[in-house]
Amino acid sequence: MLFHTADFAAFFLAVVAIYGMLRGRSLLAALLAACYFFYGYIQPYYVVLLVALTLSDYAIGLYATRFKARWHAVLLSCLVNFGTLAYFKYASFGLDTARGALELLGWRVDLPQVRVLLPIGISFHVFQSFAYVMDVIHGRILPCRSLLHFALYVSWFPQLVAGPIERPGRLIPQLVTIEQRKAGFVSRLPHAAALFGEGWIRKLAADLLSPTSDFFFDAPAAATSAEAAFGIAAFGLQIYGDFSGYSRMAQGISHAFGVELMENFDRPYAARSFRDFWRRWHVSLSSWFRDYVYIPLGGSARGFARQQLNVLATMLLSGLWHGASWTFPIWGAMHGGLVVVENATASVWRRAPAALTVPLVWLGVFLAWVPFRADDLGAVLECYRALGHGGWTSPSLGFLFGALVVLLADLIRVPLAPPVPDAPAGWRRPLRFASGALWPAAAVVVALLAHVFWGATEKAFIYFRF
Amino acid sequence: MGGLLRLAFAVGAVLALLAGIAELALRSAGVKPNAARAPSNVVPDGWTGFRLRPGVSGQEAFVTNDLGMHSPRSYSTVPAPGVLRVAVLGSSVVYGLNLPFADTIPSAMERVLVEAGRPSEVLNFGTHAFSIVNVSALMQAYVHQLRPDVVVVVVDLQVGQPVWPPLRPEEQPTERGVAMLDGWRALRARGASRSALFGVLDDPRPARRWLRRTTGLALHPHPGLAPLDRGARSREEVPDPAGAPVATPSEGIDAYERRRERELIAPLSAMATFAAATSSALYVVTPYGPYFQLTEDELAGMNVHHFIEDAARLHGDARAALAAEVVLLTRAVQRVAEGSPVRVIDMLEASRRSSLRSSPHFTRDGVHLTPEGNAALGRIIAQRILDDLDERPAGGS
Repeated sequence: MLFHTADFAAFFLAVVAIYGMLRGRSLLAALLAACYFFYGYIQPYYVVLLVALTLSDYAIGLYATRFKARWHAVLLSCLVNFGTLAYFKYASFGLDTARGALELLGWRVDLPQVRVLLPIGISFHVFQSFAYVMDVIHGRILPCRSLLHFALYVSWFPQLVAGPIERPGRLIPQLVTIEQRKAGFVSRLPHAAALFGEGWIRKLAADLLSPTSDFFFDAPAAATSAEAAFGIAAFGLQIYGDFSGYSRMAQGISHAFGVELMENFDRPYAARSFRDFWRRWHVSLSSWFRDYVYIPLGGSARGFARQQLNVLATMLLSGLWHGASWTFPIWGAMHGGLVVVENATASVWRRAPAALTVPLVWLGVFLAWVPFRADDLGAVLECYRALGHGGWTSPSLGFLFGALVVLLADLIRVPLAPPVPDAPAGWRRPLRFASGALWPAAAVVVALLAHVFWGATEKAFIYFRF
Repeated sequence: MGGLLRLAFAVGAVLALLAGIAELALRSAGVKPNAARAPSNVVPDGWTGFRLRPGVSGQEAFVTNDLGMHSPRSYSTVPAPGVLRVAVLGSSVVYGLNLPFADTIPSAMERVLVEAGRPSEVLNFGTHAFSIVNVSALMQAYVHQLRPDVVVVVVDLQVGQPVWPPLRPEEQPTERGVAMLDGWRALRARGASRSALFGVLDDPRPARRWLRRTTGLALHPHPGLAPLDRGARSREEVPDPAGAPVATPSEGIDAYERRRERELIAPLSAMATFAAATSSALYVVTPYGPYFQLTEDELAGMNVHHFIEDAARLHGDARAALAAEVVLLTRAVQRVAEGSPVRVIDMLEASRRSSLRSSPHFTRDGVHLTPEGNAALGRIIAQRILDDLDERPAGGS
């Protein structure tokens, strides 16, 4: 269910009605049912998988604290969560790769075929579940005694299918007190609407950029250098607009219920270094990898060489998380390589002016988007070759307008926290409503402009496929 | 819920303010509201060029069902057991221009078949401005999906023109047409006729043209072009087939007639082959009208001149050209039937005998038949189908 559709509007109103009418455990149970309905709207049978993973991690969390069995719990959770992820997301890719490798060695082995539909959002909720177990065994949080609260943490609908990947220490306490947060619902609505409106604008801009990137990536061999450059730039901005748009909408929806989600993008294209880029891009995932992969591997505590190896390993895994294809680890390895080079030349980077480093980051990041978007390794090479084809083609207006809107939305974005204290009184109250109405109204205007000039049609969010 | 309503009101107020500013800006820039418009009753179609817009309601003569057929009812893709399904294809003559479904040829055929004790449903696939090329495409792309036992093609002067007609499925200004639209579309059309802003939202093409002209840039890359053509030419340079000039014969009468026959025989033969492959009986009805006994005055009042422009130039006489055209079409149909199981319902002799003096209400314009004419032709076609069914050995399909 896309957030900016009539289906979701009806669903949201129903959840608001439930939220207003029920109390106590009935409220939690109804919200959980709504989350499962949202998840199962397209693939109902995978709700069973979500419930099974929730139950197993809930039990593992209790088991770990009751029997002080830290490593058993980690192993068990890894097995359940990453085993499930491996089967649904990577089994086919792994078997195809193994089959190809064996054929190269001259062995023809009849390996089984695995063709299963990828459960939507599995990469996100599996990581969120696993984070809970890790935080419990490391003593960062107490295990969640209430199954309802834990199930709601795993399946909280605004961020269930594409993040942000929340941490249990942040999200569970907010869900535990969700009933007490009812009081501020009306006063939160303007800010929630502003966040949602900003997200919708970003998504509309991303959809306008899509034809330019599709045009290039569908047939790179026939592109001029200009078409290649615009196509790659369009995808870099499209994926940012698309994913940051989704995150903003999720934050807005969740904010209405008094549940604050973490900031997922912090103006990443203003980054002054590649490390800085990763502190700003998909923050919930990069910090997850930092906390649960990079630091357990030793982080920067075991010398420079080991740190660089840890960076490369983490970025490779991050690439693989995005999809079951060799192009994604290549994307991760490129970013790992860029961070390693930056670490090796840290003193130069620190002294270089922003006017130089920011465009360099753009260049590196945009070139690295090619394997992320291209269909296979051959297409990746074709795309890079296209940059040297020569020739000029003017950019399309859809590309220019989309890029402008994405960058403008970054400049004047809505702050995650409300700009004025909750429940303003007197003359400030209607003013607050008007300010909250500006962003959704601006989104409607952008949607109408897109309709009038480009006949825009909505597309699914890119990150839904991960 | 109260909070949501207040927020919705605030958003609405902001949008209304912005809309007012936009309306004023557009008016001051010289943009005027659109004239009241109704959508064309045809829509673009990748297979047939265009076809009737499905689901048109309102006036009975323009009603189409959900499949885009001139009919008040829909049809399942699978016929009911024991029911003879007949598909009638042709131009506006079959459609029944300005006539309710009950007065059309297919409706008359259905009545005769049912009265003869043969449970039947006769589907009206008539589409105005269709030529034999469109008819052939329609049969092969859509008609066969409804599994007709019998396909009837009514060849008339319009169908006999195997060129893509210069008809474009674009909006046509018509006040009356708005009354045909359903709620939301009618509201949109009325809004567009009163507000410049709504006019732009309703038909954004002028705004797009303005933006392209002002900036000199394309709105999107052109994904429609084959990759190898990219950069070589833009979409605007691709010729528009509907705008291509119609060939004017510079040859003599014999060469002209040979060419015209070839143009007719090719799509007809394709239909015959297709019908045989899909186990449908194909009937082709030759042109029917008072074309051989017309006076000069009667011919002047007929709407047939644009069909015979080339022939009239060659013959030097419109009446002779019209008669020759009808004979030519009949001959082409006969030739196709010689080597195939196509059954011809030859109306040439009936046309030779008919005159406006003996049947003044037979046709309104020389092409389209009146309800009486449709009933007569429908009876003839239905009777021929019944005769053939009676002749068929028991157990035959």
